[in-house]
Amino acid sequence: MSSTDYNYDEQGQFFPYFILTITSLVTIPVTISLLRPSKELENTATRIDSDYKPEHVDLIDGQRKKQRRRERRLKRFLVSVGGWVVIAWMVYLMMVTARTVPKIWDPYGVLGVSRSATEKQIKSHYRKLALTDHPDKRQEDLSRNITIESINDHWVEITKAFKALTDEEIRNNFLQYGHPDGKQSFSIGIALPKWIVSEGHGKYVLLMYALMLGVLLPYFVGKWWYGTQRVTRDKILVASAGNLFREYDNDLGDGGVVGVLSSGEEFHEILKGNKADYGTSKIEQRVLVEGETTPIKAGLSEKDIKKLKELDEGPRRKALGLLWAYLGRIELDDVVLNDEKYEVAPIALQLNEAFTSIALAYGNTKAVLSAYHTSQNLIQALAPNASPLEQLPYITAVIARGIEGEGSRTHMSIQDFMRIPADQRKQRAVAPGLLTETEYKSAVAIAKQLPFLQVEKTFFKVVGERFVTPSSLVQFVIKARIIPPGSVNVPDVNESDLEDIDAAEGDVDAITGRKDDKAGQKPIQPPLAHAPYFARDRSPRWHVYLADSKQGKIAVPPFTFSTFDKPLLDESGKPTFNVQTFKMQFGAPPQAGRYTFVMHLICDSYVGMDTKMEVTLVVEEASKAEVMEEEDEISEPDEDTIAGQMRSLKSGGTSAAAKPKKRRQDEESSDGSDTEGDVDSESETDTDTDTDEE
Amino acid sequence: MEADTFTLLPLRLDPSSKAISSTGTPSTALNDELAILNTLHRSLLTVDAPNGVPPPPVPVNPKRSAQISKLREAGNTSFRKNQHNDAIRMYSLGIEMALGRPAWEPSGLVREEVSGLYANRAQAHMALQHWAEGAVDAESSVEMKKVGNSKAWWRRGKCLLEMSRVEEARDWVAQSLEFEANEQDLLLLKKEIEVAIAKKGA
Repeated sequence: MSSTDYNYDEQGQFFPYFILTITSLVTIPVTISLLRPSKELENTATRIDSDYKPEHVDLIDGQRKKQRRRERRLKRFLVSVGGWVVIAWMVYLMMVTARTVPKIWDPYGVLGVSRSATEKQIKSHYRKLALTDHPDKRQEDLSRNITIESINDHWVEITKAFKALTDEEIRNNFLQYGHPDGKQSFSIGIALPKWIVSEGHGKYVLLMYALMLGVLLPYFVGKWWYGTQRVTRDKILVASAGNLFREYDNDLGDGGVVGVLSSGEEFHEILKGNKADYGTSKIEQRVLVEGETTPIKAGLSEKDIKKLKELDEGPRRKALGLLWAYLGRIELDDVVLNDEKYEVAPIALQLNEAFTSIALAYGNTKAVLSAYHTSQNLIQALAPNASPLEQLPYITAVIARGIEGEGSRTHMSIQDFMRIPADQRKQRAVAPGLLTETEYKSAVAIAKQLPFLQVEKTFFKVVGERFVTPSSLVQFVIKARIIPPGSVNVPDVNESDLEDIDAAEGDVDAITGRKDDKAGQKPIQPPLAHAPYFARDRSPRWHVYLADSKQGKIAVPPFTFSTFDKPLLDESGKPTFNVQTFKMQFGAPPQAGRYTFVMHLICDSYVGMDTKMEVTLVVEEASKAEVMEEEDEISEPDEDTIAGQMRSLKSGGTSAAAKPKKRRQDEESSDGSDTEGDVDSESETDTDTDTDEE
Repeated sequence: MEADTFTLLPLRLDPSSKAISSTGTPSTALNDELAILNTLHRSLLTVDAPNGVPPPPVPVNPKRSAQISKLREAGNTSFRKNQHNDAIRMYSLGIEMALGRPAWEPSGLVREEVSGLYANRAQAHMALQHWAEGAVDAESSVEMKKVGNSKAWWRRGKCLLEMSRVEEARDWVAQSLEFEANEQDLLLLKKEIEVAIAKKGA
């Protein structure tokens, strides 16, 4: 042990430590990632109680199971189990392998004194031992196996130890290096068994290295790299994103988006081989049947039919047919086709999310709205312009028509339906050919659980200011309540809930919007969307954006939220009607003036629950806001604060300006803007003939 | 589709009219393409430029513009004389004329002309109490020109109200106010519609 040679682990006592370290480096992170509950919205939300089973519920559940299997992370599970087995085995090896530690002669131990003992203590202890252990003082006792020799040997040992400790140098060596001869050379061991380097095994080791560095490493790096290259941020194939981008058009309607989505390459993967053409004509035949309530049963428009017919035979055409069959809830009378029908919808939704981001990049209101509507349609399995009532169980197009009334041209939303007084509502819905008593009850029960977000108040504000000044960072605040359709005795809004109090000045997180108003409180999730036909779980998301309707462009890009800050239900499961607050931030326009926007609030999972209202942003001149501040004694910053100095720099000599008009910055009335140019290029006759009706 | 394949389509050129038609399996996409090609061909034939080269987009051919405004004038005159059917015919001719402008002329101009003509035709329909036709014409006019077309917005709203499609009328007028927030007529119509809805609900 006194040379600097590398020693291999011949007794096999160290390599378990090595293997244990390496294995746990891999196993522990993998296990943590395996066991940590998924934070995805879909896994943490509650469900809407429903006992409704749509037709082919087995197929839909089958698709759900398939997805769950895909998500189960089997590989990770195997790796971690294997890792733990190896770790357990190594620990076992460590326990059973005898540790061969070379024993070093320890004079302290022999004498039985502590290492901190002084020379004096050692001497006195030696004298004490001399009284008991000296060969002259001890008797031979054969019964206890003590012979003269052993007594002599023992005494010699003690004397040697005493000599060593009373020698200054040796004692110091002991205390410093643990060895009587002073500093020892290091011995470096390699925690690998010796056979690895023994004669004849070299080539296998070399082969191992070649395999690891030459094959496995490039393979895994390549797999990771091309894996990230293949899909976009929206988790669709890059090729699909390219197709969507090419097919994008500002004037696509809701149906047109469905046509675009069928261009996804993902459909080629599920409709491979002979699946690509199997049943295409049957699907189309079924899809293009005339409907009782719409010209085409599946809800296709002229344009959509044309699009479908123009496509070449192949996976894309079949995918489009299946999508329409899904949206129109068309029975295909074929287990395989029906199964495929439910399989394409979640894929299309994924593609639609990518399409939405493309549409957002163009900023065209109509296209974005179509994309969001398509999301609703896909989740609810409803064709464009179908009745929102069909979202409720048992209600088909025919029944919806019956409830809405024969001559009705507009569709009734679920809210409208539930707003009808209970007895009248029942009278309309429960009839021969429409719903039965129990079906009606089930439908109403679902309707009463849907999260309809009703906007109570909206306003613009700048934190810490009373006006919105040009180029400031404006917050658009929405105060809204979840009011399930058909709620009775909805309390009035508490006025104080509608106010938005600025966070404390030092609270940077709250000001920058990084923190929710209620710190530490867990955000509340709405229940998963009630979507019996959609073969995935989906947590509803709400999107708010401001649009400029004159240009048909989006002015403030969407802000998406999926959680609320206050509970939706109380302990007994009744809605609480709490006022929820949502905020989106954007930069104010650089010029003062009145800006009218149309706010769109869209839930991506339910049809017919969109809110659209006009909001007006009043941007005041910066000088005006300053003068206001001047008058406002409370907010006058002290001269010695930074704010005070900034202000005095900014205002300069204009502090004594005229008294400003008091105006609230948070106007939300719909009186319009005056920015619009008066382009009146009507023909001459229009001037005099407007009054001749009636 | 990338241009890495070449498909020979069976096409036929009519010897006298020089129109191209497909002789193979009928395909709507192909037929549409051919129709556009043939229209372009015809409009190129009618160019009265000396060398047959189409003129630059502006200035437009004054002949057609003059014809269109003449038709509109004629329509307006008939309308004033309460000959609504004549007015409708004139406007229809005008619309046809405007839509027939050759492809190289600016489409903005077409929109402008057509939206005015549709708005006028809607009014003529309304005078005859043809509410459905009026509503469709007014909508077409709005589709052509959204901003600064408050009369067309108003007319469709009125037609819908007359057909007692009140919910649609309400939505329509609400949309119109996004564009013409200060238009008194529209605000009045909105009130009228609200009254009608209240009456219907009661």
